[in-house]
Amino acid sequence: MSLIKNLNLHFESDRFDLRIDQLEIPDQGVTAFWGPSGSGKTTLFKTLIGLYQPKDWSWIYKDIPLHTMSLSDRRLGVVFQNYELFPHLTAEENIRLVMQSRYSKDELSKALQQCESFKARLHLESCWKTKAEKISGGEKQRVSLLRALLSQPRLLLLDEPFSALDPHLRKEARTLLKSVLEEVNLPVYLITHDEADVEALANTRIELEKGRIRSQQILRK
Amino acid sequence: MKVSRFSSRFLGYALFFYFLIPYFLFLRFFSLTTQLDFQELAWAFKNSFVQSFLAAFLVTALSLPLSGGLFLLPGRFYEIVKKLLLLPQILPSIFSILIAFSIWKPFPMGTTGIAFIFLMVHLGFAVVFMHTATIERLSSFPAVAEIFGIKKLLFLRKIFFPIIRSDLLSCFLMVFIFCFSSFSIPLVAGGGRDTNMEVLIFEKIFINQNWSSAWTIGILQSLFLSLMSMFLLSSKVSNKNEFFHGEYLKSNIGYVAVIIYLFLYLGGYGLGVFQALPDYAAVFNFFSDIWNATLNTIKFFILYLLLSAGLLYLWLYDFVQNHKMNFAVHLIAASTTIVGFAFYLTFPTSKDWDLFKVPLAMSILVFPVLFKSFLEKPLIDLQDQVVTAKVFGVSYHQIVFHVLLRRIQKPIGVWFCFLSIWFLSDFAILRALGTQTETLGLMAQSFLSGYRLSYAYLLSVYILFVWIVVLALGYLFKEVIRVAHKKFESSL
Repeated sequence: MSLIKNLNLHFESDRFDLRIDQLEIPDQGVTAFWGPSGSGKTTLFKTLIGLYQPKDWSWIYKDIPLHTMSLSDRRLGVVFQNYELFPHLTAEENIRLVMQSRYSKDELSKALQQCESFKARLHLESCWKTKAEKISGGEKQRVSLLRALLSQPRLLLLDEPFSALDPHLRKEARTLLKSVLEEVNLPVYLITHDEADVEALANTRIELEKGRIRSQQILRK
Repeated sequence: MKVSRFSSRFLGYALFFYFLIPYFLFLRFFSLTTQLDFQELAWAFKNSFVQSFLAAFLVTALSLPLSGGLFLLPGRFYEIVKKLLLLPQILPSIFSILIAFSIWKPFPMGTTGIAFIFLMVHLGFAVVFMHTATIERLSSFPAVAEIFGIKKLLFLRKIFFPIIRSDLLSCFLMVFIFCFSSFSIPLVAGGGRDTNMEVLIFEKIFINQNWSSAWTIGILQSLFLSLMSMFLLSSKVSNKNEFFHGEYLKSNIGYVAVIIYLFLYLGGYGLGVFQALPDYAAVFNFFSDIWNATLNTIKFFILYLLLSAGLLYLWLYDFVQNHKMNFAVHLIAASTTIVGFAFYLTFPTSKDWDLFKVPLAMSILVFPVLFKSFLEKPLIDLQDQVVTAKVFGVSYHQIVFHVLLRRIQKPIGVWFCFLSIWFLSDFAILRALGTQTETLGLMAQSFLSGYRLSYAYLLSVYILFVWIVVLALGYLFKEVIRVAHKKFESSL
């Protein structure tokens, strides 16, 4: 289990506060944080990755106090809503830059083999040598997923990973993501407002409303 | 709204030619000559180039670590420091010259001294420019790099520098152009040595009376600088995502350097004023001269402001009509001496004619550079809204007033701040115009040239006071217009 305690954040400008006194999150499968706009999903996401630093809160994951760690040391594989690929680098360079940073020289050759296999699975061959600013939305999403997978993450954090895709691409993307997640066996926190994402992917659903946890429900084992 | 191709372009051409008036006037009197002293020209070009390159290089190189220092400043303090950093460029060169003379004693006249003053004047601007560019271009990339464990050096090498490279180049070019076209600083801090192109033109006109040579050198310089200004990238799209600077962009050394820079500049000025205070009574003897100079300056300023407002309206109208920025935006480095001398030759030399010549010459020299600095980017960002308004058949006049002017009020405010202080304390263009009317800027320069540094300091404080009064009146005027407009609309 992962445990979040005393998470209190107040934003005077938006008249919004996020308050989670205690929350237990399974450390396996996909946990979806679901709620409408303004429910606090993005604030929670930014807090988990370390962009917001509330006072006196804690986030313990498998006995590791992640809240005390720097952004880098938390080792989270993040897929951002806008993907946040470095636009001047090719898809390959985006991946390699992260791999270079996360793997030692000895580990790198094995990781590169893994990269090749995922590259094929995610159909990235055609855009591999293209600059990120020139590739399509669907390709960006898959490159971003690959970057997260190959960053040696403790867990994956996906922030509205399908929201920037055309509706007809979303179903296909969900199926692909589901099969990849089953393969890597990493705990996943999925931030979404789309019920279809929850239905397709989540094992647990945590509903947020106006900055509070409204309900927590196990959907499938 | 059907307009012929010619009439839609007429305004654009007319505006462009307006800023070239001095060159046409010169053409009337002189033809270009090939009988130049090329050795002398090469020497002046080398001096201009070395002074400008040295200053631009140092400013650009220092701007990066210093801009990193700004990320360490907390909210409100950060806003104050940002404004203070812009002061050296807002304040006219006479202030920086005074401060430089106070800091470095004895002052190294020539290239070293000129480059030092250039550095002082432009460093703060460059720091703010690079800081803003970093925020606009980098967006959340520094945080993303940290999240994925990319090391700081790798981040700087692979992400930061490639993304920020074009802004570094823009910063370098801007400072280079400002320095290359500077007249007042080399005139005062050159001390007769290391003459640059602008001073050479001035000497050719007023000392050697070799006007064709001056004209030819002026044209060569203007062409060179216009060419350089075309490399300035202006229409880059900003990254609109939220910015997170993370830890990688912060610089402790930069933070200390920002404090030292501000301390030297503001402290240097404060020290100069403090040391000048005992001469307060002596300056008071010039009371009636100063009062007359104030009235003259204000008179010129009002005319200049009206002219600038008219030009701004026409420029915006042209922007809406042709959907692109007027080419005159590249004429940011017109030669002060050429512009001044063209009007000096063309129009009679009298106080009455000064009322015409001064606003005209100042607008030609200052309008494009101020426009490029403060209004070009906000306007480009509004291009889509202009298209939308056009699609719905809104008239060009309405687009200018309701879509553009209402959205760029803040940049116009900054534009007004610069425009007013530059005008109130200018002396370079007035000298080149052979102005017969005494103004505050001319008085300050006379004190400076006469080595009455303390008088110049005290007068500079007075100029700042007048500036604040002008800004307050400007604000009041704006509020009156706003309230009147509101009342008028509600009465309909």
